[in-house]
Amino acid sequence: MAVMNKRRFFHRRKVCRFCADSKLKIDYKEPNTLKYFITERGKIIPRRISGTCARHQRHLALEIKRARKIAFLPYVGNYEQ
Amino acid sequence: MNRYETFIIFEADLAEEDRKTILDRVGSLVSDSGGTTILFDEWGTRKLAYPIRKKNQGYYVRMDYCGRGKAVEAIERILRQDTRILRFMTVRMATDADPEALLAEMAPSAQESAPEEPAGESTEEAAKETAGEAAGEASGETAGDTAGEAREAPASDAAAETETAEEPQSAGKE
Repeated sequence: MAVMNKRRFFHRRKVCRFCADSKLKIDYKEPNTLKYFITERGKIIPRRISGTCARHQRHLALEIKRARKIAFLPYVGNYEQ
Repeated sequence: MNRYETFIIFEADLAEEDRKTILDRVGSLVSDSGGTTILFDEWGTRKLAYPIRKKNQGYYVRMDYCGRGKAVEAIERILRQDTRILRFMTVRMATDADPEALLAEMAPSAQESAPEEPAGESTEEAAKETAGEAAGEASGETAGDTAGEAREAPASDAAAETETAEEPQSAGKE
């Protein structure tokens, strides 16, 4: 019973932000949008956590990697930030 | 012809003239190979997310052009040899791009405001233009003719196009 309660308590329905808002573009030229999907350390947040759908996660990963290459985003984040 | 986008990061303390000469040379490479330069978009000095060659700042220039793969090869060869360039990256934006349509799209406000005399024609044209633009935006800015066909499923088309850009980009990476 306790387990069930706990589960219900922590379960939050996750929605892909890019499916919900079609105006939101995934573009390596907009690092501020991408920033939301990386950790403080600069890692790409897995979709099981961010809730992004498979298709958009693939696109997102590609654009984050592009942004890293031209130094819009860090490869290794500074945890002091 | 494909549409490419190249980001070039210059050293931040590089003189503007030096930058100009490099950009002119790159621009001439595009036109020499039968391509068209659409624009040079100077983003100016930005802080780098991580130091490159011990530099914390860089001067960003985005170059938008249409051309063939050969042009990209030639440009990247030049950029690679230049020590004043910290980094560059080329991304293929679209395949089968029409440079003239893109150039026209770049200056839509000027075109719409300037010709006022032929009222009947201009409304027709305007309607066509808006339709073309809407479809063009949705399908990742393809040419006007293909945009009509793509209008049926613009969202899926756009996704397909951006995803096709994956392979050459990673191949073009250093």
